[in-house]
Amino acid sequence: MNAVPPPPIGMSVPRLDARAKVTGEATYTIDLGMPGMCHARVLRSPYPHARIRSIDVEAARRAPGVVAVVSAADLSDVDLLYGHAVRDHPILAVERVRHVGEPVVGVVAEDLLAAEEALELVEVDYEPLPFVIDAVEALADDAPAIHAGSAERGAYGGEREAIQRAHPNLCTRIEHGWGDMEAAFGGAALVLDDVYEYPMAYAYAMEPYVAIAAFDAHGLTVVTSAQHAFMVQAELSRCFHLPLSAVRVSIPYVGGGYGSKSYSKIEPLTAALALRAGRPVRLALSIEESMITARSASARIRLATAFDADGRIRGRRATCWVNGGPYAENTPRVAGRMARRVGGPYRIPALAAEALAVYTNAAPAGSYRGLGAPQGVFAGESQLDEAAARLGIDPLELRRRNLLRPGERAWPGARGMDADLVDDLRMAEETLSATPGPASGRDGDPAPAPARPAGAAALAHGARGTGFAVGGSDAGAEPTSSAVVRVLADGSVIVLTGSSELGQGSSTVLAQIAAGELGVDLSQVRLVRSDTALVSYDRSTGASRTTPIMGLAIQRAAADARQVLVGWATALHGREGDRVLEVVEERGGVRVGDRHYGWSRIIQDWFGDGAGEVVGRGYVRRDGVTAELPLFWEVAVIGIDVSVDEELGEIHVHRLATVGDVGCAINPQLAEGQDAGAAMMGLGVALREELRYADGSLVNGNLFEYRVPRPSDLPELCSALAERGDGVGPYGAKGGGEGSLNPVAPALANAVFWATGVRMREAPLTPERVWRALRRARS
Amino acid sequence: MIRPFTLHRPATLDEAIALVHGLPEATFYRGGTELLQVMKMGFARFEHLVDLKPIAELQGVSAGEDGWIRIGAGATHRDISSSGIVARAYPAFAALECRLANPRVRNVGSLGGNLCFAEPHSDPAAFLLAVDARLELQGPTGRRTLTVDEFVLDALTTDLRPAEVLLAILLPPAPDDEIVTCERRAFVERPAASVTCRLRFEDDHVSDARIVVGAVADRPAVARAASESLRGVRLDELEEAARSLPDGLDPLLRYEDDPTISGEYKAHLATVLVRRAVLAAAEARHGI
Repeated sequence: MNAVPPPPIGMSVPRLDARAKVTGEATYTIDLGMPGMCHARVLRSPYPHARIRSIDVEAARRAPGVVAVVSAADLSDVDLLYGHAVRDHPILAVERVRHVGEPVVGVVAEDLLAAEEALELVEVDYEPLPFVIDAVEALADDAPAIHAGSAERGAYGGEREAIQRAHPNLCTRIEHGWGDMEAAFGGAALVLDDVYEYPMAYAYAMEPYVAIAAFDAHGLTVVTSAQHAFMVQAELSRCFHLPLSAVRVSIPYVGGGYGSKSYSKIEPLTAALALRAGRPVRLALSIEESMITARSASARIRLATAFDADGRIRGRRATCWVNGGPYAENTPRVAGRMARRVGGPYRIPALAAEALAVYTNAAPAGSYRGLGAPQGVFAGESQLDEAAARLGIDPLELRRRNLLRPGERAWPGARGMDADLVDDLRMAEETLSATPGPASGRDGDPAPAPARPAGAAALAHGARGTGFAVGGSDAGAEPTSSAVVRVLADGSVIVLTGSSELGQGSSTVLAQIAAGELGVDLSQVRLVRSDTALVSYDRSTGASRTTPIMGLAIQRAAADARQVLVGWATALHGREGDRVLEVVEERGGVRVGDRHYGWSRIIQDWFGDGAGEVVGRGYVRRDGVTAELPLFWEVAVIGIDVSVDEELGEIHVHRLATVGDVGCAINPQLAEGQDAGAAMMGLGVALREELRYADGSLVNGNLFEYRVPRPSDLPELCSALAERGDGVGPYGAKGGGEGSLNPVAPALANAVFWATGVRMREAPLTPERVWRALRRARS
Repeated sequence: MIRPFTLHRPATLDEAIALVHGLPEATFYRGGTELLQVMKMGFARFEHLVDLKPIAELQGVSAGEDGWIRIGAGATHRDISSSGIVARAYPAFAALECRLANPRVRNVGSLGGNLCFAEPHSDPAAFLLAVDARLELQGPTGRRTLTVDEFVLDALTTDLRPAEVLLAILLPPAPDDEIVTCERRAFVERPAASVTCRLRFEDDHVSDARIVVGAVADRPAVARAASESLRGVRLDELEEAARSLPDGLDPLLRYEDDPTISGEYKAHLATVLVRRAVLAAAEARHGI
């Protein structure tokens, strides 16, 4: 770690893509085409669960403009099953459909209209089967089995979660724990045992799923709006029996990911359609289609915590039922994270957490910002405030008594806490107090709310309350990355990175790291991103890993380039006759005696003809500083100030403060933007976002009925960054961007509790839900 | 996806009516905030859209000599919320038009389009029913005038005849002794309840009351029981009367479940909103 990071590290330089994005110059997948490209539409299942008796595509094939009509039966040369955790997801339905909206037939035509018209000519004969949407019901003895037989383990490795088959609908069961539970619960002064519900949510991105695929003599090329180019490449390579080198996945700007574009979504289908069409094919989903393509996993969490009289946690027991939909996708990992994250960043002598990843007939779940943390943190942080109220201890004091101290391990073998959580909590208190907003009668008075007589609120809109919650999750980031830094003959720099620009600003931050490490001006750095034919391997763009892990790879690649350059400079200028001269590295080059040789000069002299370049390589693997997992703790604290309209159950959020413990903010403005965005996304789910099912179908699968927050919904929001240089990444950086989502819902529920005395254990805290809870409590 | 259609831009009303009358699968088009949505979703198909934006008779807000306010059916929500004429006579309506939907809809969506679409989860219809607005229509066979109750028949269903166009919305003069207040709540994109309360005061009591509840069922409806219970109430007892309104306001009113909001909650919501609207009116009356 450098004592003083070089410029432009730590500087809020404007995003390098800002101009292109606001002028519309920036290219997204939908802006691209290929010569001869046709367009695809997808026929989807109207049933949550049904056997397919027959599919008749003949009339559709004869329709004008139609190039290909494809069902699973037409794909015998393709490995139809894909999936990140378990290979159980058919590219097109095989014999059965398992959720409303499942792709059954793809139609490729000269234009979208022809494809749309031909779709109506496809006849599918279904035999409806019993279905189950709820995860707990799906594990009942008589629940309909969603999968017959076992599925192959999927692409991900390195996790200990075993695929277990105790019940046909149990996809995975994960256990996490340590310590003597009996002793912990036996002598407890207080045991709380409650059930918390966190909803399914749609990770609304401005850009819905879209992909273009084409086969040619070299193999398969896919341009797509995805997060992880190399994972899509690996999946396609396997499905289509091609070497990795023959699959090129290229990702232009992505209009928002939030986890929902992790792994393969529509790429295998688009490629299969291109294979049968014999021409490039574009598949672009609508928002409504995207909403039934992926969602977050809802969870029911039964959480029991044993406390000492002084509020110290003695032990915690948790069972998480995780609704993954009919295909495993990433749910086993989400469930695994939930089991690990339900404990929180606290000193817990004994913990027994189990998470059940359950198959249901809801749409497939996948990754969603926070990956299991929002669900677990909602339960854990809500229960801490409940305990504080019961024990008569200030909820922040109760946290301070239990929070892990720097270096302390959450569980045996875990990386020691790389954050000062107690100080982060203090910062959150201060930040919320400093956030402008309406004066609060009860601000800073988190004492248990006195029982309020029924009807006392009457027309007084606004029982006021403040709530806090801490999120400290073991980052899911894997230490597998590589990067290439090319220093060109004029000293300018090209960085090749597998990290995708999802809007999070990573390409600016990564360029800042390269510029800082090589001592060149930021304007001299160009980033080439996320094209498997051009850049070297990066595992993924998610889990807040890009700044710390890809940043580290770039830092190392830059160091590698510098080392080569210093070597060349020494060979060129390190001798004067027989005398060995000292070659000292300095910003942007070397100094020999009183002469400065810039990188450009060294390269040109080395090759001798004014041209040439240096290639620096950087690798990150599970070794050295990145040997211990988690690679870092993603820590954030949220404070919220609300009032509750007790008549209507409406919550008004006045002020929201975030503290993101990022270690070092390479670009503070972008880091704050990530925290603000995450908090806003968390507030959406905390207040109203929830995918709802009735009779096996999603009933609010559009943006009229499913409302995501808009800027006018923003409370007064202040973001503070904790920068203590204690992370594993460049300059002590840790990941950010998920952290500030995780504690929002419990902070809100805690604020509502301190305002009204009513504990909400089900998110979102919709007006109707709060009204019902208040009515129950007051009657 | 939206299917291709031909867009016609006639200069006169007669031309527009003749086009819709004569062309197959043709309809009128103004802001498109509702129409283009349902076309995109495949719920409706039209080969020809006849744009009403160029037609002068459908634009603008004007005050007649008889005291009635004429709002061109093509006037956007923004036109209405920024109209001084509307704001002076019915400030509650101007405020309502200022809050409905979102800025994009308010900028291009028209009041006429809103009514013709008859989406049940809508704000303006309840207000217009409460103040007894008149709707002026013109079709191939002539003009007629309807009340909102006559015009809105059911969810997404109006009394519009083939090729008939809504010309204008007429607001009656606002008497000095009358106060109109609106309250609404939208938890998703469209309102869960939108209520209008129109109270007429005579000396120290309410001489007439008309309470309309919108967005809770197929069409906006007058809450007769609640309206009745406020008539004759003395001003100093109005608060008490407002608090005593029966839950649901009228046994004849229906509150339907929305995908994410129960009818039971909507009944409670409407009751509280009406109570607040009545109290706001009482407060305004005190201020007069």
